[in-house]
Amino acid sequence: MTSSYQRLAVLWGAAVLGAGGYSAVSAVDAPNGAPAALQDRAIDIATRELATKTLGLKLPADVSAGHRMNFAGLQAGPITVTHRLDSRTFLVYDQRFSDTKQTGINKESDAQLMRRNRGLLEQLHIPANEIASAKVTQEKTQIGERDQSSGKMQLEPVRLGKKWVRTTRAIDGLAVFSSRATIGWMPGGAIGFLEVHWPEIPAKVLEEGRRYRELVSSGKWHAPELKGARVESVTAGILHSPAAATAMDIEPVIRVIYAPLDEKMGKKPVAYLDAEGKEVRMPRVFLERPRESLKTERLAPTR
Amino acid sequence: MRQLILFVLFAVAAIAAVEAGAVVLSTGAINNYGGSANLFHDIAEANDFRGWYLLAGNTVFTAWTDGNVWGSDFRDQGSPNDMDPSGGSDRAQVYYYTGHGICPSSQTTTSQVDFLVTHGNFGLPDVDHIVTDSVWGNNGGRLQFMLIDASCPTEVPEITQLFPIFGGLHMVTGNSGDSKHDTLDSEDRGNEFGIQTAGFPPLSFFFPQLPVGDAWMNTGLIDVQNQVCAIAAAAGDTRDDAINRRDNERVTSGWGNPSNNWMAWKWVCND
Repeated sequence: MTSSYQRLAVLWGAAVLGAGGYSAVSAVDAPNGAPAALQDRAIDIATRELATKTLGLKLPADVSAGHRMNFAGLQAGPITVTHRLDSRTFLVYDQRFSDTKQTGINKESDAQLMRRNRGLLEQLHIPANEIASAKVTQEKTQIGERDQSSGKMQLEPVRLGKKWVRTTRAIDGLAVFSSRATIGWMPGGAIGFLEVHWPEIPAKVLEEGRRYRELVSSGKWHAPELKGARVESVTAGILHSPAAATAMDIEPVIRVIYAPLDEKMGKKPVAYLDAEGKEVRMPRVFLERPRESLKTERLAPTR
Repeated sequence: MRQLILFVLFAVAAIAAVEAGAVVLSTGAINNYGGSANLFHDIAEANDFRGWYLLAGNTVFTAWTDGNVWGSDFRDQGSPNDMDPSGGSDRAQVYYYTGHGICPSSQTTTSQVDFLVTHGNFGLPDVDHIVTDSVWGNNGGRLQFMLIDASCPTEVPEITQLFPIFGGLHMVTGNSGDSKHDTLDSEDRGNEFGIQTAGFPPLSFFFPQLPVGDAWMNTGLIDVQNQVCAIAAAAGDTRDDAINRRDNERVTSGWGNPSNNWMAWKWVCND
């Protein structure tokens, strides 16, 4: 994916060189100057096009752009736009989204927002037939004052807050657990927050995922026992590295959700297993983790 | 003498060079509950959360796992308690807990709610009733942000019961649900929450740092069942202060400790 994005960016960039109006900040080291610089600029231009043409963002004049590792992005005033060079992954944040006192909240109907959402995902080349579900979620807010002498609470009414559309993914009915689109909308349909993480899944992984699905539906596959819990559900699907990651691993899995036998215990254990019922190696987040020297033994408390 | 002066100047410069707004973080993550519905991903989740904070230039106080996370780490009273120098939760500015909680049978319950459950080698009992056991930011405590990934530790219908935990604490985040509508064991949720609250200065404009409340509204519904809500609550000196903190405070904002006269909270549900 990295080379595809970069080839595309270079070709596109070569065609529209001179579309300036921004300063490029590139942190990529290159063994020789000219080809790398051309590629850097092409990536930066592609990022700007993503922001303005694909996402329809109105950027202020001063734009800083650059790319590093597997990310490319730009910042313009309150707006940050990022995309991965190794995955169909996009991130947008407009700081004004958080300051609802100044910005207000989106008051469009759920149906209107869903239409906007579909349109935007189409612009990002998210296949419509891979959308498993989409729903509008709306924040609620409330305020309370405590009377210091009596301890009694005085509550204000609940108010409605920001809206997001949250979208999940399945390919031919096979759940892709780690993919999602979460888009928060500002008044007028401006994007306040966007995370669309929808990497292409290799055919071989899909094929194996389908095989897992057949195995599960045949009744021949059984989830391993987990002490203190019962099996609640078994679902075949695909797992991959998250949006915020420097790695991109993709695995077919069988997901088992367990329910604690003590119904009051919160958080349901979830196992990701292979056809043999063994835990899969979880997709990585970091290619190289930050170094830590972690202690493993905590001494008994002293009296 | 000259060497001493140079040493002092160097030390001062080194201290000043620490990124403005850097915080001290602790995590407590539990997979092993001794065979009682062990979890799979909480330690990895905390590792990821911490990883982004480290990359953003913050420092780690403790990163205990399994039996080294004690129930007493979250209790204000008793000995040891949340000020224990080996890992009490009130020693850091940000504490990320991931493990079991206790869910009510329904969200309209009248029974007690808001619990953390550890499986500690010491510091018993393992169960903390946050409402009565925990106060953060008081008596020299540093904790400003208590971020709980435990299902049902911050139930929406009874959220005002949490007023007393704000002894100087700025914000708490958690989930609300019940035994049939619960959060799932997830590495992804903590990873995403980590980068959205820490930001990522080396790629400074690639991963912006969001206010804590909004980062949780974005990520707190990752890997949860229907009817589970993500909730963020902030204390404030005044009404406007509480609202401002709920909506705009970041872990590195450096704002002073609030009193707990006012509380502002927000939640979003996976309906």
